[in-house]
Amino acid sequence: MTSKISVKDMQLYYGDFHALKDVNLEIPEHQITAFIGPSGCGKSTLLKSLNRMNDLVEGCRIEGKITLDGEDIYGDIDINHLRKRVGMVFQKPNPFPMSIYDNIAYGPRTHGIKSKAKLDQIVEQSLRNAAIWDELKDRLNKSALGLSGGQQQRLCIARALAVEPEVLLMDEPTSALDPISTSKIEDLVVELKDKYTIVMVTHNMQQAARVSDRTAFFLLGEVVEYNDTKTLFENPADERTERYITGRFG
Amino acid sequence: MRDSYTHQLETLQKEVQVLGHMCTANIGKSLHGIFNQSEDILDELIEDYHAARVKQQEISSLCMQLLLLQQPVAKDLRLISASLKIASDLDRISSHAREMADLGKLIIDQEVFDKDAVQAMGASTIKMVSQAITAYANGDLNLAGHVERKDDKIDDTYARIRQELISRMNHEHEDIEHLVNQLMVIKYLERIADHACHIARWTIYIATGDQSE
Repeated sequence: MTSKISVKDMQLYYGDFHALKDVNLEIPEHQITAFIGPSGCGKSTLLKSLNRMNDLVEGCRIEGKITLDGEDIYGDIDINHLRKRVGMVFQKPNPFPMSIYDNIAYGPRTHGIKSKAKLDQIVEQSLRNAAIWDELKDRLNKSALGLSGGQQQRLCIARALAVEPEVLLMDEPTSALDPISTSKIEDLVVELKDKYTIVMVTHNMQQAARVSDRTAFFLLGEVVEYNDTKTLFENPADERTERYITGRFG
Repeated sequence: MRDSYTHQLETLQKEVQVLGHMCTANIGKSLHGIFNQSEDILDELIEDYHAARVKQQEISSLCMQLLLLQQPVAKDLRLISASLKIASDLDRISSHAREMADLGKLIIDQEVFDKDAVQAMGASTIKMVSQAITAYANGDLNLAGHVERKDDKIDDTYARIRQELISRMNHEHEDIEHLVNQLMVIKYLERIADHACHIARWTIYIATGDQSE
């Protein structure tokens, strides 16, 4: 198992509040890793640390080390390039108020691609990779805001894929969606892991069990248990994990 | 949290214990009918067998409902899946008790070979089933291990009586059918002891997740 992202002895503070404590995790390449835990446990905070989105939060301070392919992401590094390599999809679909085509082309254009032919190819490939090309190919110049919630979220995934990331961070990607859209996105995520490394925060434990290869259970800022998903859900080592996943506390 | 679900799990465990008691009663009744040569007692077992079968089906139905509606994981999943298996083992035990009763009617008015040993074997087998169910009810891994170890003694007793019956068959040229029927009775007791072992192993599985023998 090759490690794509490595988190070592990580502490995170929001001002004086110690939000993440002694986090040590290896995120394997080309696998889906799920973060689960009750609200406020630090799972989204850790997720956002993996592409330095927490830099945007005033008072946020990190100790320890997070590496991507061995390179310290909090060292001397181009943050825009980091966020190209480590893309993110959020809970609420957030298409830009522009056409479907321009939503996808926005990232590549920002990174200097101007050729129409190349952008056309990127838009098609990204929408195909997100399993939504057939639905949208005849309406690329229509506003993205006219799409359904599920389609918007798949568009956001396509948009993230357009800049050819290596890692996809997904923060509760289906919590705002209906069951059918959820199912389509889960199928998509499982297909995507062949090409990408995926880290997903989810409140839906059945989703974590269905989709992920490894699962980390967070509680009060600590990683209580991190294991193969099957093992964690069949026979968790820690009683706190057992009580959480069986719904004895939430 | 999940009070209704927790209550259903408790109900499931109680129902398995009820089925366990029904089965030990059926084995006891079957042996009592054989040793006391009472056809009436043996006939009662048909009703008792059907009642146990209905209870087993109720347990299976409850397990499926829990699996479908509650998406259990971890120990809850092991408890429900093991309870489904244990109910199946108890159903087989009940079937064997009935089959012994049917054989008992065939050997009515005839001498039971090595009656003391067969009675002792019967008593041990009933105790194994009873202890296996108690182990399940209390999550008692020590008791479950004890049940597993007792199986060797049952196997040894079965092997000895079987050999003696075969020896008699070779020397007595009449009434071999009677001896074969008695062999089948002790074979069923040996099989019931095996099922008690299965129940003990499933109890260990519930606690540890370990399915190895």
